[in-house]
Amino acid sequence: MERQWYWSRPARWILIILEHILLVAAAVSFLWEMSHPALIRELISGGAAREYEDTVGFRDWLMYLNSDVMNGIQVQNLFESDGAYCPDKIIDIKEYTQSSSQDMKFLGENVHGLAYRLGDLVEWGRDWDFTGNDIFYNKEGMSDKIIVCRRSDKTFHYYYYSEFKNLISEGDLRFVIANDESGISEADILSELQNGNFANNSETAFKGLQDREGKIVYIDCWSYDGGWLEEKYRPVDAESIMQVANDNPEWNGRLNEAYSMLANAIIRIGDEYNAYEWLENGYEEGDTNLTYLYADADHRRVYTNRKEFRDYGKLEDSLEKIQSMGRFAVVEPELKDFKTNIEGIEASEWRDMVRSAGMKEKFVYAVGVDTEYPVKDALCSEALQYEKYSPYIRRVAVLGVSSLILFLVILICLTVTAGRNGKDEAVYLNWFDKWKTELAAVTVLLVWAVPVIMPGTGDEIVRTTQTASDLVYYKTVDYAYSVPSGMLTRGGVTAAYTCSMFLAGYLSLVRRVKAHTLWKNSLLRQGICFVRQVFEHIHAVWKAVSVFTIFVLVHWIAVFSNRNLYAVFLMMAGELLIFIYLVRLAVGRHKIDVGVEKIAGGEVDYKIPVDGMGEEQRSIAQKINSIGQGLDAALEKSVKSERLKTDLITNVSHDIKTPLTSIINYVNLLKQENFEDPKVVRYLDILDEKSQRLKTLTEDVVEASKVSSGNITLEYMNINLAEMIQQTSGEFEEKFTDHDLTEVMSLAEHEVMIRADGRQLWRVLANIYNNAAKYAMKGTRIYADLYTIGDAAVFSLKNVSDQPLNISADELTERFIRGDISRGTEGSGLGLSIAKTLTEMQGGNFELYLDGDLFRVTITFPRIKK
Amino acid sequence: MAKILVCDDDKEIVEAIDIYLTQEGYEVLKAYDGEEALRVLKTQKADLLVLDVMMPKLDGIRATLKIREQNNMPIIILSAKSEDADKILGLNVGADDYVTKPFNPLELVARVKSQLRRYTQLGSTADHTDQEVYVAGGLMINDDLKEVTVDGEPVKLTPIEYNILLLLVKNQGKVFSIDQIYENIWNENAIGVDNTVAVHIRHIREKIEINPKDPRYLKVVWGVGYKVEKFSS
Repeated sequence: MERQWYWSRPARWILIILEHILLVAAAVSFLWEMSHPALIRELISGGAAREYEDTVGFRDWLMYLNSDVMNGIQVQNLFESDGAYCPDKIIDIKEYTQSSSQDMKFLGENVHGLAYRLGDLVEWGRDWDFTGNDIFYNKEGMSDKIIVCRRSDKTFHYYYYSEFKNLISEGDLRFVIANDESGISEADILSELQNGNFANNSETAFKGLQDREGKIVYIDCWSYDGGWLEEKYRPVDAESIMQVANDNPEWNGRLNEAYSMLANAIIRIGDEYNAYEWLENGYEEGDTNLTYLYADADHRRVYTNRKEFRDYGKLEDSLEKIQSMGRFAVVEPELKDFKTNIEGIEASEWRDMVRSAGMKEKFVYAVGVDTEYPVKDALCSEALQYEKYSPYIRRVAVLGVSSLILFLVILICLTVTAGRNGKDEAVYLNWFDKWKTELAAVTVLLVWAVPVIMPGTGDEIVRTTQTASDLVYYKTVDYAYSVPSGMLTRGGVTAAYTCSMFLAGYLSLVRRVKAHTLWKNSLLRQGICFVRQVFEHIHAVWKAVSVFTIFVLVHWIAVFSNRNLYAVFLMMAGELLIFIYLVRLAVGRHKIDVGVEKIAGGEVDYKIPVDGMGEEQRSIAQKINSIGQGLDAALEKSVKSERLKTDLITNVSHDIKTPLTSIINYVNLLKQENFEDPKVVRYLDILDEKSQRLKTLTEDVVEASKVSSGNITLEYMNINLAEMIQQTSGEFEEKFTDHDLTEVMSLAEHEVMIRADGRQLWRVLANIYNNAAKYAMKGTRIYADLYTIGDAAVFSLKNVSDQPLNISADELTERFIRGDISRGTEGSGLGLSIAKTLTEMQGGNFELYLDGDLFRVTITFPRIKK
Repeated sequence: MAKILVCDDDKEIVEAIDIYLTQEGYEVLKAYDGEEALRVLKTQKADLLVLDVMMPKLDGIRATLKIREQNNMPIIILSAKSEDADKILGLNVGADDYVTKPFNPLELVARVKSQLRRYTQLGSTADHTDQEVYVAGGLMINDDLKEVTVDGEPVKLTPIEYNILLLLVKNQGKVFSIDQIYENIWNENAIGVDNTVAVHIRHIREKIEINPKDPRYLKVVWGVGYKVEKFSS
């Protein structure tokens, strides 16, 4: 494949440099736009006013200035007497806090007993920060605690503790302790009071306070628990608030309320004074191009910043003059009287603005702006700026946005090409990409943050950005705009630096993701791996102990952290994990259980499914599986070897049979010849007998090996054991007679049904009968008994042995072991062994019993119900 | 006299069989492998074939298949393989009888005789149409004459033996238990505690079967009873 140009290294570097340039362009455009609020607002609103006075910025400014003016006018009455600021004016606290500044009826009078000088309150408020309530309730400052005493007529008296202590120690007041055994003494009460902890509910402690003459003055006293503030100024006509609360019946017992009202009044007056002062100083004639006029029809009063308009009588002229200004608005309660040449603000908006400032029903409000801008105020500077820069605003915005888009496009391009060379599929990492992920991330962040955030050059850059945002909100009347010199440069430098750091970090990240090393090469993974490895190598017991310890620890933390949300969450998560773990463990154990049972039950090729098991159980399961596999292999091997043995024996027997056939045949032929010599006749008989025996032996050996290797298929059918024994007996009748034996049969009258393979069972019985025929003593009886015990059918055959049986029953059924070498010569010695194995194969039980010369075979089969 | 082809790779066995068959008056042809047997059959006519299974060049089973393509003479397989499966295979490919080695020469001769009789007297049963005759393969009972023949050879039975055999042959394929036989023959309820019936059955077998331990007609169904195999005519 032909390599595209963008895969080459230089092209990539060019793209990266381009990225820097684009980001700088975008940043500078953005900063430039931000530093011209008038322009940016116009841009956002979508309009493109030709004159500044038609812009959104101008309208916003105007409304903002209006609200300043309104706030000022509202409170002017409060602070001024006869058109000038009057600090000696008396402000009644209750009156002031309960009504708005304009509606105060008794301005300048002490109506309710607690009043302050206006000047004092203003000064007080100036010292106060915005968190007035904190200071009000801050009882730490109250070093001398206040004590409340109650008279019997439910009036109160407040003392400072020092005052109270003096009265007690000089004997002017004395506690009447009710009961000495209550354990509370005067000293105790005093110390409690000193600490401010003596509560109102301990009435039983004493009966009251008596004076020098023994008259009860107060029936109770306790620590004051209300608000308090340091009194910097004295109330009018009183020493302190406490004095007012003690002496003035209206305030008696209401010290807390007095303090609270005072605090509120101080805060409010502070705000209102600011508004008043702002109007007085900020909007004075000559400081602003704005002219305002507010006429209060009720009081026939005019509030304005132009001396010439102050006369209410000349109101009409004044309004005329305002209407001749470049931009104006005249607002009256009736919407129809509204006049303006300012676009974009509705009449109702104007009126509501005036009304919401709490103005009277009958008013005239007028604003005018001298669009010649003789005064260099904010309006002037914005107007100039708008005139100068408005043609560029769109272009700069387009430049900024398109730079940003192009920046993103190239970024995608770089993302695609990062780490590849366009020739093969490999991912190429540089030295930096081989750093640990977290290390690289922290490095990039630090290298970026240190110059940008740390003091020094970076500090400047940050400040620049901050200033840029401040510009939007900073609106003092006398602020004159000037784009901060170097701000754009600094912004650009920051952008370029940020861009290079970002690209270094970002492209490295992309390469790591592509090479799949983001996680693989991380410290976190290394840590986890380490912990896992440690965990894997410690003993199972320690594993369990450590897991349990962590689990319990989390719970303890949760319990002792007072239900800390995170700890509880951690606890729940832990419980969930343990639950999942236990369930998984149980499932695994069950699988192993089933597997072991199956393997133990003979299904040795069973495999325990190890999917989804824990490490430990998986290894156990795998070991069991391999044991099963080993067993399976061993079993298969043994079955195979047994088969091989059978096959070998069968094949060998075929090979023996062929020569044996000749031997038997020729012996027979020889016997047909007439030999006179009795010796030859005897030798021939021996040959005949031995060859016959060899024949039996070969057949029996094949039989025995087939039976013992299980190489026999059984065809089960229902068999009447009684019939079977009769049949067998019939078959052996002649043989028994030949050996001078008598069979005594004792069979059950009824049918004895069992389930077996008739032909195989015949072989069993034939072997037993044969055995008896061969080895029983001549002239004896053979007893054949068939009876049933419960669900079992039992057949036994007893005979008396011809030769002594000096051998155990077990040995008799062992292959090739014969009861006695000299017991006849016909059999192979395999008969009983074959009979036993065949019986057991058919689900029966075969038992030999030897007692002296008594020989008994017992066969037991389960009966089947008809 | 009938010609018999004896084929076995063991020369001594062929020799021994030759002696026995010649004593009985048969003419014996000899072959020592399957191919040779086929060659001999091309040039000479044989009435019966005695064939070994395990032989070089062409084994007995394949040889039987080839011979059966054009010849229906009796074939007796003579093999050291004594498994049931071997016997079934031999009989299925077309052999008429199966004798395992080592064999009793007299039994072999008897089987040869029996096969020859059946082969040469095939269809002779058609003579007895008016008489009450029961046939099961080579076994025939003429109830009018109270005569029993196996492959044409008369057999002497006692009256009880005759009645038992008649019962079984009349109901070919049906299994009779000892009690049922007893009740049918003696017309008494079975006491069922001795081996009388079984002994009679054995005696019958010894008379009508060539090898009573491997009966062709009167079979023992162990634990159930006795039956005469049903032969498809």
